[in-house]
This record gives sequence, structure tokens and C-alpha cells, in this order.
Amino acid sequence: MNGDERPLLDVRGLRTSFFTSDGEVVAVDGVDLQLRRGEALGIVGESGSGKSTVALSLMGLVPPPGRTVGGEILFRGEDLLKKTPGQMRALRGNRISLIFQDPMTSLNPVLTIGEHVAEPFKFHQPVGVRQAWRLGVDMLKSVGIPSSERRALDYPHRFSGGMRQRVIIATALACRPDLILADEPTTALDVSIQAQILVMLREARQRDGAALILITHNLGVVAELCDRAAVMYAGKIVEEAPVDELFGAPRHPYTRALLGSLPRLGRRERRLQSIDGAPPSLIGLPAGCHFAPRCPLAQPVCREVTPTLFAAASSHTVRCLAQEPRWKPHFPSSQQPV
Amino acid sequence: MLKYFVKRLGMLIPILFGVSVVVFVTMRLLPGDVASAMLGSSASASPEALAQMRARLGLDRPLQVQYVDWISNALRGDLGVSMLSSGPVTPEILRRMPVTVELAFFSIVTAVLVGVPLGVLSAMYQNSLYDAMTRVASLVWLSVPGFWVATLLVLGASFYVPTWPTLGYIDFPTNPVGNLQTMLLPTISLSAYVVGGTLRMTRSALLEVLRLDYITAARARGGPERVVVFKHALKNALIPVVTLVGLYLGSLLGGAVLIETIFTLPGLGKMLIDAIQGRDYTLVQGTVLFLAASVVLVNLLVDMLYGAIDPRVRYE
Amino acid sequence: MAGVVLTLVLIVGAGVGPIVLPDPFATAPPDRFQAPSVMHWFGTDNLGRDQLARITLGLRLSVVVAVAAVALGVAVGVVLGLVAGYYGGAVDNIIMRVLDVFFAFPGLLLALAMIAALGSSILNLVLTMGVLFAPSMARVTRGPVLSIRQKEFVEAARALGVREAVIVRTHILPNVVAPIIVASTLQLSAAILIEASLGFLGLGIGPPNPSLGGLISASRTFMGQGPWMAIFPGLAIALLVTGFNLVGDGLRDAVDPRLRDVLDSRTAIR
Repeated sequence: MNGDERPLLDVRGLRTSFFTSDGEVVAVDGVDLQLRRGEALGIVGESGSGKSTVALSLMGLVPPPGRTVGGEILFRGEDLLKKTPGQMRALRGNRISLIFQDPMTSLNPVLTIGEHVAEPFKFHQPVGVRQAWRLGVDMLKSVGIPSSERRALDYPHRFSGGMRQRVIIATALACRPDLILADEPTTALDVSIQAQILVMLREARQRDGAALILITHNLGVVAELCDRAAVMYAGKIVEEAPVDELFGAPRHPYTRALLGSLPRLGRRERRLQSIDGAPPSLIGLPAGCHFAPRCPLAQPVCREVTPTLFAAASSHTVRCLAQEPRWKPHFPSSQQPV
Repeated sequence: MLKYFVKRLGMLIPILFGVSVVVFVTMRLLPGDVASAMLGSSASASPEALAQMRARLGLDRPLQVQYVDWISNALRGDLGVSMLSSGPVTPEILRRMPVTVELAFFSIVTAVLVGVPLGVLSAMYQNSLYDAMTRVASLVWLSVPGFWVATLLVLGASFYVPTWPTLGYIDFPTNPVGNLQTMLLPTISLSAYVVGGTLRMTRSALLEVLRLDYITAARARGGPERVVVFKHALKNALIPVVTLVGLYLGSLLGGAVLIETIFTLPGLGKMLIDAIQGRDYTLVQGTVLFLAASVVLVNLLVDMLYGAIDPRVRYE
Repeated sequence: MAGVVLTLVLIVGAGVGPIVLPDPFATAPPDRFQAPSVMHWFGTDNLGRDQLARITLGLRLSVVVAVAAVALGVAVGVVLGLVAGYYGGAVDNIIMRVLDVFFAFPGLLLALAMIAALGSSILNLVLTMGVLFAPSMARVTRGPVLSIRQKEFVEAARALGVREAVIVRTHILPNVVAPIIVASTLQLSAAILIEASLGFLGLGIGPPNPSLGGLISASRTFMGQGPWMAIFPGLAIALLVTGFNLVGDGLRDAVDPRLRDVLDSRTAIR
């Protein structure tokens, strides 16, 4: 960790909603995040927890009918939400990059991959077309695409999923960004390719000191790559801690359920545990804890008081009344988590 | 790319064959008897004269033989002899072809040059006042019958600009300005429908594409909106537009029939109508075959255009 | 939507009109070439006939012919599409090749050729246009059939011993109905235009029956004396077609935006 103690990214109270004909869908409900240079944060959650929307919000790419309606996104001290479109464009692909989930749909079928990977250079660096192309080809080589000069002339449909994801990573890393947002970078890929992608991301961090936000529902990937992890549920962060602590001693009932539902080698489980119920609709959520309907520890107070993030230990926050000393009396001692 | 071309060419042959069969069979559906039509409606046409005429026209032979005869002649460029003018059909077609081609060409060009840009603007400024107005306008253009527009234009021109050469045709070499003048109103009438359709298709295709992941990815790389729309989105959006324009080429030839009649343009369309009304079966047969074959060939060209735009197609 | 209102107004008008309005065939020489007035909303023609009456009758005829033609096209097309999609393989190939030949013809041209051969009568009009529309209906049907047929729940049903006919009815048809409805509505507007075009050329419904296209054609001779004769029939056609198009658009958006490409360009899967 270098001497600059001010965080690279400081997100405070981020709120992003989608204004649909059925009502306002609050996808990101008051999220706080901090990230220092070179740090890797994992954001974990089920589909619909709002984690992808966080990434889009940071980039300023929330599609209509969505809009970021509140909060601050302080990147290197400047609030991104106050920037003009032109200023944001200068940052995207340059200082902040986004890696998309589905390699099959993230590349433009009518453009060669050479054109894809040359773009960040063309947009952000004072180089000519030929120079941009050459820089792009170099990037392709660095992500391990064989015969990169020749293959740069090929179109995306000639590449396998794993290769395409490498191309996407190449375009994301081209300008050596300070912050990489990776949205489910391995979900659509085979396990063996997943490993290679993770290696590439780790190398990028080591080489350029880039910070990483890894968004996934795959806990194993988070354990591999991240320093810290945050768990999201229904638009809110419900727990955040260093990775070892989160996996070793989870405090939030949802986190524990997530971890408990993982089948483990070497241990005989009688039944696979799943979490009862389904994630709530994000329209018109009632007061109180959003996880209460599915929570094995829920008490009446949970549906009335909306829990806030509470520092249960140093750099370990939880959003659960059962964890806070002043609410402990409401919870029968036999049900209290460790 | 070459393989694609050859493959498409190969599919052409059976289709052309099928087309010729359909044309042939359709013309033979005539309830009336060609021979008696030619001899006139005089009741005095004797059975012997009829039989003689039939033999002369080759109508007494079995159908397959007639077909083979006709098609082998056609392939050599001989489409028979017009019953009314007694002149050969093929030169007549070739003589009148340029007029129809010019009309169709202008109409397609107008449709693309007007419809595509307006459609792009409509998509870029979705839900603006401009967009709403354009959508209404394009629907209207799509719905009005071309021949009605033509009739109104002739009406309007005769009231307001009596000196305008609305009827008849002046060919290009003789008088370029006159040529364009005679083409203006017909082009407007014929292309209205196509402009409306192209505009709508461009708009909806572009809107669809702009929602896709790779467009967001392009924005995530820091692309200015102009680049995103024109370099990334438009090329993809034009694929269905090209398909539509290809289809329109066919219907344009049909519409040209009416427009040429109204504006008295000496093209293939007018010739076809006159031939139908004059019961000139060989001329009808030859013209329809020619037109249908042209449409098939043009569609082949459109398919080739696909290959240029969509790289996925080239490797099929 | 506006389209539904518009179409309904026109259809009701067409249905009711001829009953309520003055006789469209009654000639009244003294009243020739009257401009639109309270007595004659759309004016009179060269024989003194009330234009509004003639146009509404013409509308009625157009709608009847269009609906009949599209119905025929759907009946034939859906069967062909089902067969082609369901059995696949050689059957599919043959059917689609034959349809390709028909697709190669510009619509109006084929209709012209057929009417020229068969002679013009309402029956022939319906038959001709039905033949014209069947290929696109077949194509619209074939798509969903092909994709559903391959889905696993169909395999599962078969494995359970369900009869083919029942499979078709319960699984495949419901998915076909929606695109067909949308396609038919759009095809209706095409039918109106084709019927009008044929009428204009004198190849449609003959005099003294007023066909909208025929009215426009007739008006050309009398343009100096009665310009309104040209305006109103075309307006009627345009409004009717717009109505059908709006309804078709609305239906299409309601059904599935993804179908737009299939129905607009009517392309086969390449």
C-alpha cells in the first residue's frame, strides 16, 4: 500500500432508481464504499441485488429509465456525479474501466477486434490511427492472444468465449486505468478459462497498481482475488469485511446463509441448504430490514426499525439489529450469532 | 466471400426456373382461347381457321413441349412475337426498360437518402417533438396509395404550375433538365411508400441496437456519442434496413406499373398494362418473366450487399 | 389506441353507410359536379351520384375483399407453415423453395398476371390475393414452429406418449397465434392497397360497383370539373390503411418487440 492514505474511491449514500411504469425500482439504496489504490473489493449478491447497477452508476452509464438520484461518488477527490458528460467520457476507458459480463454480446459483431482494442487509445491518447492499432495489437499480445497481428483483423464471431473475454480485458486495461470494475467476468466461462482470466486480473493489479471492484455471485472467485468483500441484498450493503474475516466469521444472517449453502468437499452434508423465499421486489419496499421475511433470526423489531451499518469490529461492518448491543435484548440468547 | 456468392448464385437457378414455370402456368390459365382472340371475335371464325391458328401458335402441342420451347427461346433472348404489333417482344422490352429503371432507381435513392437520415435522427432524439412528428409522417406516407398521390400531383400541377411537363417523358440525352422534370412527380409518388417504410425501419432498428451490450461497452470505453451511433450502432442497424429495401425493390416495380400509366411514361409498366388490356399474351408473358427475373437478380445483389455489411454472413 | 378507434369508425361507417345514405347508384344528371356541401358531403360525380355514398360502399367492398383474402392467405399459409416447420427436413426444404419462388415475384405483378388470366371478379380477387399472402403467412408460422419443436418440453411430451396432434394444439399453436394476428393486420392494409391498385387499373371490381381505386381512376377524366372526386376516395383508402397499420403496430408492440424484425422484413432465417 503506498503512502497516499486518501481513498481512491469514496462512495457515499449512492442511490440509483429505475422509474418504470410499475413504479420506482430502487436498485441501489444508499450504498457506501471505499477503495484505496491497488485494493480489490468484491461485491457479492444474488441476481437483482443491485450489484451490477452499482458498477453502471460509477461509470455514469445507467440506462434509462434509470437514473442516479443521490449520493456522492468521489473518485480521486472529485465527485463524478457532478461532472459533465464530456468529463465523464474522458474518464471512461481511461482512468476507470468496466469489464462486462457476457463476452458473447459485449463485442460489436461488425467491427474487427483490432478496432475494438484500438479504440481506447484513439479516444484518450494523442496517437494516430496506425499507432492506435499497433498499441491495440500489443495489448492483445499481452493478454495472450496468439498471432495477434493476424487475429486483430478477425471479427468477434471467430473467437471462442474465453478469447473474447481476453479481448474485452485487453480493451479495459489499454489505458492502464486506476480502477477496474469487473461485472461477473467469469460467469459465462468454463472453469478452466475462469482461472486464466483471474490470473490476468491479478497481473494487471500487480503491474499497474490498479484497484479492482469485482462483482459476482461466485464466492470462490472473491476468495481468490479480493482483499475485502461486501455483501449486497435488495440494494443495500449488509456486510463488509476483509475476505478472511467474512468467510471465517460472517455476522449477517444472509452472509451466513450464502456461505452455508455452498456444498463443501470433504464434508458430508445431509441436505443442500438453500435460503427460503426469494429476493424481494425492489418496488415500494416496506420499512424495516429487507431480509427479515427470509431471516431465521428475525424478531418483530426487525420489521419496524431499519438497520444501519454498524461497525461490529474494526473494518467489519454489518447491517443487522442482532449485531448491535442496544438491540440485543430483543433477540433470545439461543439465537444470537457468535 | 466468393463461396457465399457462388452459393447464392446456385440458389438463383432453381428460383428462376420456378418463376418461369409460374409465369407460364399463369398465362395458360386463360379461360379464353388465344387463337380465337387473335382471329377476332367474329363468330365466323371457322373451326378450321381456329385449328390452323392454333397449330401456327403451337398451342396444339402438349404443355411440357410448349414450355420447353418457350423457355429455350427465352434463354436465347427470344421472347416471341407481340400479337398486337407483330414485332418481336425482346427489343420492345429493352427499349422501354431504361425508363422504368430510371424511375425505380430514383425512387430507391430518394427512399434511402431521405428515409435513413430522418430515421437516424428520429432514433437519436427519441420521444422528442421531432420524433413524434416524423413517426406520424412516416406512417402516413406508408399508408397512402401511390396512385392517389400521383393523381393529386397531376391535379395540383395543372392548377398551380401549368407549364410543368407532368405527362410524357423526355429522355436524358435529349434534354437533361426536361428529363428530371418529367421524373420528379412520378418519383415522389412512387417513393412515398418506400420512404415511410425505410424511415420506420431505420428508427426501430437503431433503437434496438442502441440497447445492446456492445453499445454500452463502447460508451464505457469513453466513446463520444457521435462515434457510438455512427460507427458502432448504425452499421448493425442497417442490416434489417437493407433487407427491407431489397423487398421494396420488388414492390416498386409493381407500383411503377401504376405510376407509369398515370404519368404516361413509356416504360415497362405501362407496356404491361396496355398488353393486358389488349390481350397481347406473348407480350404479357415476356414482360412478366423479364420483370420477375430482374427482381430475382436484384435480390441477389442485395444479398451481396449483406456480405459487405455483416461479416458473420461471409463465412457461412 | 387511435388506430383502433379510427378503424372501427371506418368499418362501422362502411357497414352502416350504404343503408343510411342515398343510393350510390342513383344518377341525377341535374346534380352533376356539385362541390362538397351539406347535401352531399363529398360532392357528386359526373353522373350526379353522391360521392359519400359511393365511397362508403366502396369501403365496404374493399374491407370485405381484404378480410376474405387475408383469411384465405392465413388458412393456407398457416397450414403450410405448420407442416414445413413441424416435419422439417426435406418437406420443409421443398415447401420453402416453392414459397421462395412466389416471394421472388413483386406482389402487384403476380396479382396483375393472375387477374389478367382469370378475369376480374370478386372471387378471383380474393383467390389471387389469398395466393399472394399465403407465403408470408407460412413464413411467419414456420419460425415459431421450428423453434418450439426443438424445445425440450416437446420432447418430454412425446416421451410421455402424447399424440402429435395434441402436442401441436397445446404447445405450438398458442405461440403461433400472436405473430399471425399481428401479421394479418399488417397484411390487411397491404390487401386494401392492392385491391385499390387493381381497381384503379380497371382490373378489380367492375362498374357500376364503386371500388375506391376505380373511383380515383374515373376522377382523372373529370379533374377540371370535379377535383373533389379525386381527393376523397384516396383519403378514405389512406385512412383505412393507416387505421390497420396503427392497430397492427400496437398489437406488435404488445406481443413482443423482438418480433419486429421477423414481421417487417419477412426474412427467412439465413
